[in-house]
Amino acid sequence: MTDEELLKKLIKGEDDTLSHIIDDYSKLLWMVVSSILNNSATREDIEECISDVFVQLWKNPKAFDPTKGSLKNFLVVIAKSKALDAYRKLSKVKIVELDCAIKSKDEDLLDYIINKETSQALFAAIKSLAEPNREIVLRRYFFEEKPAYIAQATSLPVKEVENRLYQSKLKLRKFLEINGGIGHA
Amino acid sequence: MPKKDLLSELSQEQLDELLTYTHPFSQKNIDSIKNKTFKKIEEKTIMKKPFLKRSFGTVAAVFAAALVVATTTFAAMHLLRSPSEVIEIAGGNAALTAAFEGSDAININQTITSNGQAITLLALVSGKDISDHPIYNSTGEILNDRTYAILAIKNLDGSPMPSPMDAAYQPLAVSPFINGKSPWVVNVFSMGGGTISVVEDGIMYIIADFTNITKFADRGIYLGVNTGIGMGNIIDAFTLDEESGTIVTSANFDGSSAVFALPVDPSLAQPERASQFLYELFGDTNFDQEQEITIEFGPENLSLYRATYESLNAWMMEQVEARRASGDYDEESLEAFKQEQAGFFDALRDGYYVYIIALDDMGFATAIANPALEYEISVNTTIDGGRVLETIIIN
Repeated sequence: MTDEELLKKLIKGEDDTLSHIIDDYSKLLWMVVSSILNNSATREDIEECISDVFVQLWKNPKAFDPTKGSLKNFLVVIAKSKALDAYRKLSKVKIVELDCAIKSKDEDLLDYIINKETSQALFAAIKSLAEPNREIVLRRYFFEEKPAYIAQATSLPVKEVENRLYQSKLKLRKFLEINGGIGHA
Repeated sequence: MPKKDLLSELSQEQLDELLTYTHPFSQKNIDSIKNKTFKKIEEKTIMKKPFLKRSFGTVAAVFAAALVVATTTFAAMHLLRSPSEVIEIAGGNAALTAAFEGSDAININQTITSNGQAITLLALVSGKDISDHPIYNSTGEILNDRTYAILAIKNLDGSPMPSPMDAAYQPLAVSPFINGKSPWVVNVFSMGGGTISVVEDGIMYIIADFTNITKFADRGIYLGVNTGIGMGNIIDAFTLDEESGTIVTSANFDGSSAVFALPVDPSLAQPERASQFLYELFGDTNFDQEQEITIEFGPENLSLYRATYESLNAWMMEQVEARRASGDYDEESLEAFKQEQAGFFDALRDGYYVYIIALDDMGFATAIANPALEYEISVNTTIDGGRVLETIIIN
């Protein structure tokens, strides 16, 4: 069923359609919401957040315009917004990036790599890294976790996480250049 | 540069692999999500009935506006919606609508242009229990004493603002600021804020909320709007004018930014509550002093005290050797670490202070500062529970 057909059924108010959409997209939204809520949320929080996404789609299906993008992307955008909202509710004081003082050349490199590559190529390149760098980079790139959270999850000092991230980014770039990925800037 | 969405492109197998890093996911979760979703839909359907009756006036106004659209499309496209209409567009909130229509609301309608955009602060209202959707803190406590602001942002060239599903969409942050307090200290994050954004007729509307700021009314309060939602964006967009204590926009910020001085009655101030609020956030740490975070120490560093340059340097090198001996670090990482330490010590001078800052949930961090010179800010350390544990004076 195409996104246009799904939209028409949603506008008609067919419960089955929403049920199918929940089946198809819950896994992806679980990833998206988890990546934002990090370890500040419980399973219950994640489910609440994802259900809010589907409620919003049900409530205002016309907000989704199939000519502008896919239903998948639409749901991901809403999920990010809902997750950020949930995150601030779960955190009395929002945690601030400690690594913003050292953003600069390595962040530029991150943007460069991400925008040059497909997610799948980037994912494959990350798999070439040894642990724990692989986990660190996956968490940073795909879950957008802050180094401090990664440090908690991996039981490593924050500074070491930052160092491993930087070194991994350099290795990723080399890997992608050698394997026919990104060209020279 | 808009951030690319990496997750949506992954295959099912790759998603499955990444799921190992999240809370476990299974069919049970899908069933639970379904139950929650349909329960909420049922509740919302019931709740809507009385709400529609009360909003008759709004419905009539929208109908009248539709007639205008038929004849003067261009003008209508540029008319801003009222706060009540914005709330309705964003999904409805009877209590908040009533608050914005009540006597405590402050209608401002001030527009500031920046970076090709017109940013209009439509109205502001503060009070207890003025929303149907309560905000909770991390312990489940309802934060019911809030300030809400409604803003409109449109492009000066007449082009429509991108909707949240467009790749070109750029979110904006709305921060409360207090006179005399650096934007990196008091901002949307420290004041527990957030926004809901909708785009209607090519105009972006933002409903922002944060802790009730009228308690700071005697100090002078502001509302800042900037492109981007990161802490770095706020730091780049705004500056504290040291002489006057006012918050001003930074000339070199790459994006839109605006500061509105809020006309809140100073008699509404609650100085004791305001001081208590800041104390609960920051403790005794004087965050008016600007600090530069440069490096992290471990808890073992707490024994360091009034160190000399040489002893601190020796201690740092011990840390490097200990890491090397652990075998958990490759040489490249260690070299990068050592280079950072060298930069750190290059920045130190006699009389400088090194602050060891305990972060309740994130270990430790340090900052260097020189009380005799002008401070520089590069990063916020207002982590939940962050406080200065030790001060090392280099001499």
